Amino acid sequence: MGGFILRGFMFNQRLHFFSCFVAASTLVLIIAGGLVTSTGSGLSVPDWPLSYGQFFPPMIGGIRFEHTHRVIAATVGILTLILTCFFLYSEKRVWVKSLSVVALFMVVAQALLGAATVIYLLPDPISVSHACLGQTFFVLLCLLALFTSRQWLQKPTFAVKRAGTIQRLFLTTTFFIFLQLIFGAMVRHTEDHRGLNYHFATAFLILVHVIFIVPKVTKEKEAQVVFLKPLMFLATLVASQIFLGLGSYIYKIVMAPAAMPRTAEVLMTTAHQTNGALILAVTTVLTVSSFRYLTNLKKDKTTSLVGDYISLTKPRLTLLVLASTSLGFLMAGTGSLPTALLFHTLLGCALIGGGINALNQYLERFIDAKMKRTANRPIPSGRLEAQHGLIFGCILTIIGVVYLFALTNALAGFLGVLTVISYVFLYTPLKQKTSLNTFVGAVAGALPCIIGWVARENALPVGAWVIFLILFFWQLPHFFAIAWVYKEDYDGSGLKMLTRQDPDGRATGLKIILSSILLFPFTLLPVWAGIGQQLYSVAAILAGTFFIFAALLLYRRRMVHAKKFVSLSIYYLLILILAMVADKIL
Amino acid sequence: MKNRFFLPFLTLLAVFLAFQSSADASVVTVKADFSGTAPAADKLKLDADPKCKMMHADGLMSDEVLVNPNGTLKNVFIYVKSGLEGKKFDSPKTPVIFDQIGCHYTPKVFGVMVNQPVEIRNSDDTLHNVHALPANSSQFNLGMPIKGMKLTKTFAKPEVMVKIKCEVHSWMKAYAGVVSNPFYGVTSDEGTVMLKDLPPGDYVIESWHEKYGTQEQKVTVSDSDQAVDFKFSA
Repeated sequence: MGGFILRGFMFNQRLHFFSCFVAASTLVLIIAGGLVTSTGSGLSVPDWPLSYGQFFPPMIGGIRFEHTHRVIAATVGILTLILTCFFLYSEKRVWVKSLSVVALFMVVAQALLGAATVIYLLPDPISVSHACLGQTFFVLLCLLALFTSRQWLQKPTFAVKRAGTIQRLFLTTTFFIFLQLIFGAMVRHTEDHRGLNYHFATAFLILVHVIFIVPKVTKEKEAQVVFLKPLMFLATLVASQIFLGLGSYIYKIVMAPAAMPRTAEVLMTTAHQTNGALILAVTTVLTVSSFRYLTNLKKDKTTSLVGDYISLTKPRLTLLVLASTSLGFLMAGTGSLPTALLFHTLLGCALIGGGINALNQYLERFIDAKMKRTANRPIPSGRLEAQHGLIFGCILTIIGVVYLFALTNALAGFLGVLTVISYVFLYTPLKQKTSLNTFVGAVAGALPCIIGWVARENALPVGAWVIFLILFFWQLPHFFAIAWVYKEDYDGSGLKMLTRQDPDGRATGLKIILSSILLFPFTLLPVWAGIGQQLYSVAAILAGTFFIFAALLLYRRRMVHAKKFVSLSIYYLLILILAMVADKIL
Repeated sequence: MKNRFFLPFLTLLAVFLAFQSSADASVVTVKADFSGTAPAADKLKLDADPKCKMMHADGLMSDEVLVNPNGTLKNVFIYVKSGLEGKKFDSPKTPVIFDQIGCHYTPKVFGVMVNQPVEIRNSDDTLHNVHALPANSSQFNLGMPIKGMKLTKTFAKPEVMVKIKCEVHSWMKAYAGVVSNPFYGVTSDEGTVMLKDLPPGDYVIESWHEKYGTQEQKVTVSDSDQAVDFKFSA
């Protein structure tokens, strides 16, 4: 066996050559079929599968074409059967095996369609299907030849500038050529020539695609090894196809029909059809190859620029901020909900939240670069320039503050400014100086809820302060646990976290227990302030007790479940909020 | 008293009138004139079947447009297209003979009534397939591999024209005008068709030619003979 192992798969020379051979035989079959159509001999043999009741009728007139087509078709059918058996026997990849079975099914279906054209006297839909399936079968055989090729198994990869764009361009080209096959078959096999307009339009689209794609791929020096020759071949095929198409048009549409098919006409139309099959096969093979061999040089700048700016605003965190704002808004006031005001409040907070997150990422770009979790953020990864992030953050923040001032009220706007100061100018720098930063961060985190409340009521009653306190104290156990989860990262970054001088987690665990116990009385304050009723008090007591118990457990188990505790803390807050809202609504 | 004679009288009158009208029935002579120069006939390439080639030592020309010496057009199918609605005509039982002889259809253009048998013959020592492509009736494609073979077919619905062709010999084409009345004909050497025994009335006569298409003319049949001229031009 002339085989050797490539990337874990055996290159089977015989299988590859045989696939190529069957594909080439199919091309011959397509030519033979094309001649049948072009000479109009499709029905020169009225019976199927025998010809005039014989295996071999007299080879005269149209029978020469029709019967030759049948003989070649039978041969290709047998070859395909052998090919499928060959694949099932010696191919390891299940998906390739399956494709070979599909090929067998296709050739059988094609034979049945061929029989139907004879028996039902060439009905248009069957003739068109027979034409399209024949070429699709040819494409599949070409793909089988590709998948068994040495190159495919070696999988050379070429880093190019815009692999995604090239692949998409190839894919749409293939799509249009398939479409063109259908339109072409319609023009060829049906009487009404409405398909001709579509055929022309699609031809133009394909031409434009090929003109775009050829220079785009050929200028990639490295990829030329694989792509240059097929692309040049494709360009030649497409150029000749235009002339063959125009020639066919002149013979079939412009010139008056002759008493019997002209030789030039027959050759022209058959060549046009066969050339089309080749174009389809070459393009499909190139498309599939582009997906296997081409990778991006670096991340596509154009496609991810918007994405980078969005990720600069930390959309998930911003959404959490908006949820907290909504809570404050809902808890404030009575009566029907002023939806427009809610929208303005949320939009203002979203702008501020997004802006200060961008500013935070700008300020922490050097620290982020040191931590695995954050190294791929837009600025530290180098995708976005730091200055651009700064400008973007400033613009969002300023617009957000002005928006709150203009469309809600001055107090809400002022609290917005306070959030910006506490987060950007206090919390962010303090993270690098003192472990007390967590407390400042908790203030910034609890402020959006107050903004929501104030935006609706334009006052700061006790209720708002109570919620603020709950959110503030809730963040302590929550962030201690997070700090522990990302301890390794934080330790290497130079950020001063409370977990820093705590190798075994005892100190952090104790802090979590203490802060959870500290949180508990504050969660009961809403009952006193009149914003929580029975439902809330029951929920707060049960959930709070459970939370303290979980904190104790975390400490006993030496912080192994810190990650779960983080999620648990979020659920705890959610229960408190839902109970509060439920008590207000019910 | 009167009643005793009334019925026989009426019968007599009817017979007399019928006799009278048939005796006086006018003939409509339809002519297919041709002006201009007919396109030169193509020499057909018969190499595809050596037996066909042998039968035409001097070659065979395409016969799409055949102009008679008197300036009329051959192979024009003429029939009464309308004016006979509601009348029923029995289809003859005698078949129309449609022969394949010398790798050529004889006749090339013919008329046949709905459900009238068409006897298809193969007088050639070669193989033919007969493929009829009606739109209103069912298509058929018959293999006739043996000399002397006969097959009988009918067309169920009127249709002008039904194309018949042989895919083995791509030059072989024939056309059948399937009609529901007996007033039809195909122009031959004189370029005329006589429509006889048409009852008096208003009719539309249509003429059809393979290359020059269809034309219509109105005619009113009374007791005098009529002439209708169709003018085909190249």
